[in-house]
Amino acid sequence: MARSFLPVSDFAPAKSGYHLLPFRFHRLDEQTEVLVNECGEFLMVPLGTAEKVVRRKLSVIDDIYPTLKAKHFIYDDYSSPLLDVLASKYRTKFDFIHGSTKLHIFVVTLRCDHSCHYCQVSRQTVNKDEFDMPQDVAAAAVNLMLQSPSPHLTLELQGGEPLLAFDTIKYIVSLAKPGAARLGKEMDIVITSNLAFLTDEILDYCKRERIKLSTSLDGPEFIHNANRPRPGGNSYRVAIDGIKRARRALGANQVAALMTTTQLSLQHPVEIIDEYVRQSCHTIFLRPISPYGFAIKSSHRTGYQMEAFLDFYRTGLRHIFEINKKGYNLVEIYTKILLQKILTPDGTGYVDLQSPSGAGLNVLVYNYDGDVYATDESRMLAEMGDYTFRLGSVRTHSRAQIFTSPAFVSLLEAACNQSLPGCSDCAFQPYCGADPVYHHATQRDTIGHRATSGFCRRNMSVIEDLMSLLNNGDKTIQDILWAWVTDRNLAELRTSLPQ
Amino acid sequence: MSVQFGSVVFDDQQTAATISLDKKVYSKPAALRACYWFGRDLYCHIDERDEFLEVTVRLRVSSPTLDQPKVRKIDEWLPEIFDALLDSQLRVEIQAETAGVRELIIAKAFAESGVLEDPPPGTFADPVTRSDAKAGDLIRINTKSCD
Repeated sequence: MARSFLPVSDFAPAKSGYHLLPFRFHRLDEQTEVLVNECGEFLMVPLGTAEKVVRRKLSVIDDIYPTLKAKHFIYDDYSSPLLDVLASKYRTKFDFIHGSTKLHIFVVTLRCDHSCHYCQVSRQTVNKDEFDMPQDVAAAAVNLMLQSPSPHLTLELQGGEPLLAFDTIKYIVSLAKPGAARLGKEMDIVITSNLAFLTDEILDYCKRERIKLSTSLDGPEFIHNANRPRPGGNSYRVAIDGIKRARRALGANQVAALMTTTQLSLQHPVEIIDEYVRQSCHTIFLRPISPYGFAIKSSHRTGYQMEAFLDFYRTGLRHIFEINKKGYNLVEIYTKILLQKILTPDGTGYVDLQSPSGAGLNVLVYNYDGDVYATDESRMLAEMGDYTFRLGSVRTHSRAQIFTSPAFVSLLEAACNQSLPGCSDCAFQPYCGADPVYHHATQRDTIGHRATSGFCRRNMSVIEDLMSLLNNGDKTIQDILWAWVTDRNLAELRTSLPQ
Repeated sequence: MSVQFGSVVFDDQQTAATISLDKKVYSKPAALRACYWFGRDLYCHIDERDEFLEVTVRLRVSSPTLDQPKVRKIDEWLPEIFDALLDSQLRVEIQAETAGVRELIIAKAFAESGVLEDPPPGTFADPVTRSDAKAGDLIRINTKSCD
């Protein structure tokens, strides 16, 4: 005889009903809203579901009921709230805090041969040695860096053009590498250079010391040369030649290229992306100009509204999808960072999208003169006469003094989007970050006003776009997104999927 | 002469509207949070009158300019404002109902980092282990028994 089960209604919640767990929601379109729990797990549901849940109009026989329980949006007498599981997931999202400052940027010189419109550094002519980092400052900065509790440090050497101060680079590396080894710390070293002064001697040195190179590639020749003027007007040729030589000497994966978007770039997303493919790049970062340094002073050339950048980004992303569909693996980095935050249990090491903000906590900048800043952007502000985020000096301040400085404390007060107006009840809070330095620069207020914030506009729009693609996007595009998150190309992803 | 539409009163120029909200349905925090998001385009003012909250919204730019060639009329903003009010009220209710649980989750998440003066309340009913945790780790989960 067949065993019969009790009807579903017998498993209905007790009269006390179900209870809510913390969650936020956001209207995605006319039919859909997204619910996001405290740990960033999300559910796409029909519009009005949040209201049904809150008003206790949900029944145990609704299809979504068990899903809401399983995803930690509600609990009832038959389920524990599983607080420890939630706590564990929450902790995993915030693992980036562990170890404190990981990225240490050394500005070894302000000298540079380029005069880029958007340059965030108050460039000096190539002959002014007084704008190089002296050895005593370099030694004190290395000492401060090594005091970071993080077991893994990244030392980024930049300028100006750091290769103009190659001896300073060698001195810093000669102190930092053995120092890190003595303390049992791992260390990555990156030189951020325009590659104009790249010699075989420098390449040999980079290979020997396992130093990576990062450079700028703003797009095809007419864009790159226009954005990055230098004597001779050949910055594109110099960069391409440098990239090829560096790849031959160090290996393709040891050389990265980054682009910056200007007013001119906005008209040419497809050409810029095609240039990256032509140069055999497999990553591209469609990033807007930072509103700092000369980018503000030269706003007639670079100034544009965030809407224009979002058009550029969307057109670019569509083109990148088409390139991937044709079999060439090209990853848009910002999209990948956001997808990792949306689709995986992990947080991000990308300091501009962290809460607590990565400023100081995950990145420190040591200027050529010994001053310590919370971020590279903080240093740009100082170059313009705004020293709000100068935390101290390697010459006179200890690590403890830097992290208890009034500047750092005031930064911390606006560093958590969990408590910022507009952010505190935003569904996308777990995917976004806080950027007090950006808001100070653009709105003269570290807390900022979300309704008029370019940072909020950009992230809200991009996350909405991604959510829509995940919800009802083309299947191939969804596969491409999953391939990016899992560090595979489209073909590898499809091979791994069940047939 | 003003025009009345349900609980909304428009001014003569159609550049401002006053919405009356029953305080039994909408709280002041919900109205404030909803208005916050319209700060780019609208001036918002909230007043309390007896059993009602009166939300007055006024266009910041009422006629086209070079920067803003298209201007939405005030009544075109109302559907968004009503949606935002509803959503904000729900958010306030969710936060009020779940604040304690949220604090507990966060307290438990960071309980063993050594930064809390008092251990969080409750027991570890669902033990989680991370075997590679070291004594000095900032973020660490210890195995707990279920007794």
